[in-house]
Amino acid sequence: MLLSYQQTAAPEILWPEPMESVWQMQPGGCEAATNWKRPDITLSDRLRMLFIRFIGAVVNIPDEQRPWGSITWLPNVYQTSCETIYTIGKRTREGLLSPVLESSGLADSVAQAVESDSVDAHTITVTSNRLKRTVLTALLPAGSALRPMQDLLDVAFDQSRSVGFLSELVNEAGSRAGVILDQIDFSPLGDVILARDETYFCDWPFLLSVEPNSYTIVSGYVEDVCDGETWGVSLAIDEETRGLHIVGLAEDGARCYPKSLREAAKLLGIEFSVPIQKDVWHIMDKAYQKVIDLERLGLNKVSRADKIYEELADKPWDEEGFEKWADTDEAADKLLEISDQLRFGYGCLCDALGVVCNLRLPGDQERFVIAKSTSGSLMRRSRDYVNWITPA
Amino acid sequence: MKKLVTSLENQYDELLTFLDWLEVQLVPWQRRLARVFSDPADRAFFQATVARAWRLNRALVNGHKQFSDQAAYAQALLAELVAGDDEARKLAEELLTILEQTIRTSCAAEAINSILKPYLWVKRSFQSKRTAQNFLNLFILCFNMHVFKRGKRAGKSPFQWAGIKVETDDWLEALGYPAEA
Repeated sequence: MLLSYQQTAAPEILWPEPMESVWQMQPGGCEAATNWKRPDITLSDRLRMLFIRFIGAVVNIPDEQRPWGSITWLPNVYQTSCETIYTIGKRTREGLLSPVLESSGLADSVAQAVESDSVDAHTITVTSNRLKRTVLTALLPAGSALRPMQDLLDVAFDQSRSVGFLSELVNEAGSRAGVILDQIDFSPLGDVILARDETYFCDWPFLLSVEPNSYTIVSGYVEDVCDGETWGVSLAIDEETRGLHIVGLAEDGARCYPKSLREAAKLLGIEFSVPIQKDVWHIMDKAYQKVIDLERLGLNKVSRADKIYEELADKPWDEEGFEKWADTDEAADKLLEISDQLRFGYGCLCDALGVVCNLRLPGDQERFVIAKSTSGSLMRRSRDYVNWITPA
Repeated sequence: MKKLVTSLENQYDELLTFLDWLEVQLVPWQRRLARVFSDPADRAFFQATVARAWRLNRALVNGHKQFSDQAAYAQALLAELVAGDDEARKLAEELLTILEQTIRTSCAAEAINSILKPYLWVKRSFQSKRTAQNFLNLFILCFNMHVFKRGKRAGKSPFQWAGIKVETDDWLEALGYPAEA
């Protein structure tokens, strides 16, 4: 029995050969369970899967030969989606056509054709220079370790290089980079304020000095220890040999920094004293953490007081319990009050340490004064400032 | 709390150094401003408008989206203030640059550290301090010569922004490995 071809397709549609004769050979009108997602696919259909091959065959007819409208017709007649039709086509291509191509020897010719296309498009010669450039690019900025780099060279260039070769190349290039950096004249930076910080790796401190506006790394040294002496040497070298004129330093609160200036002065044989800007972010972050900690303590106390209250609510009057609740409640209130003060103090601190404070800019010689208030929180005393929020 | 207050007191003298640096830039700018705006009230208004626009824009950049409307208004006000007045526009741009370049933190160095760290983690270890220094040299050269792809420095490398001349813009070429044709 044929599928209801005439019911779904216009009577005048007759596909060109061989599509039409294959179509006509398919079984149709078989039994189907109602709970099947695709009732059009009957049991016999499922067994023989002939129609799937038909769909696969139609989809895989080259575009220029495939009858126009056949891909639209297939979902209609099989009551399925276009996506399913294409998926069947893809699976047929992968599962059936590839082995056929291979057995017929066509696969090689297709592969050769593809290969020749690629070669035409990108012909590269793997030279020693290209290989080294690739290795160094894989290192920076790609961030590859040496062993994955070997795989990369193998896949990209069919080249194998030992870890020793790669390690030597990186070392040699690094050494050369050091020479280049030493020769660079940083004087175009002019009077420079440097930001400095260190990071640790393998127990060695990596000391870095950066010009913050251009983000130029002025120097980087790997040292045995991070102290005033090593930072002093770093500063002295930067000032003396790199053409820099350091007029200020931005740094965190590390204790070794003040000593480093004295060390640098000793090495330079001149008075080397530059203004220091301590990093404002660290102190603001610490203060914010205190605010959060105190609030958390206060809220925990409130929860505790609430819990005691609930426990007491269902019991007869308990003098001792009441006092316990009263003490906890009072402590919670006190903590929250201090927390509020501290939050206000934190806001003042942020304003004080901002360039345009609380959307204000400090006037000519005015300075914010940060002081410790009697409650232990921080407060700001400011004098006459131009209001920047609502310009006059 | 005491620890915080102590560290605040210890650093107190050096927390506001940026105001001195700002002042060095601001005073000459205010003189130029006075040549354009004779009325002190106008000067204050101009300065306030520019600084406010900058501050609100910074707030937006730092993710405080609640300031979007205020920032848009401040920007529009500033645009109106300098419209058709090249001198005023120049003054506004100068003040914006001054504010933008004021250094209050060491976060530039910390940002570089945060970029360096993942490379170090991949390395896991170095044979010696010398190899570590060589790697750091490579990192510095590569970073200084790479072109920023995003952000306010996009389109130029750190060296280019700093005006530092190197024979080539390609760090690998500088190392002696030129690109092949």
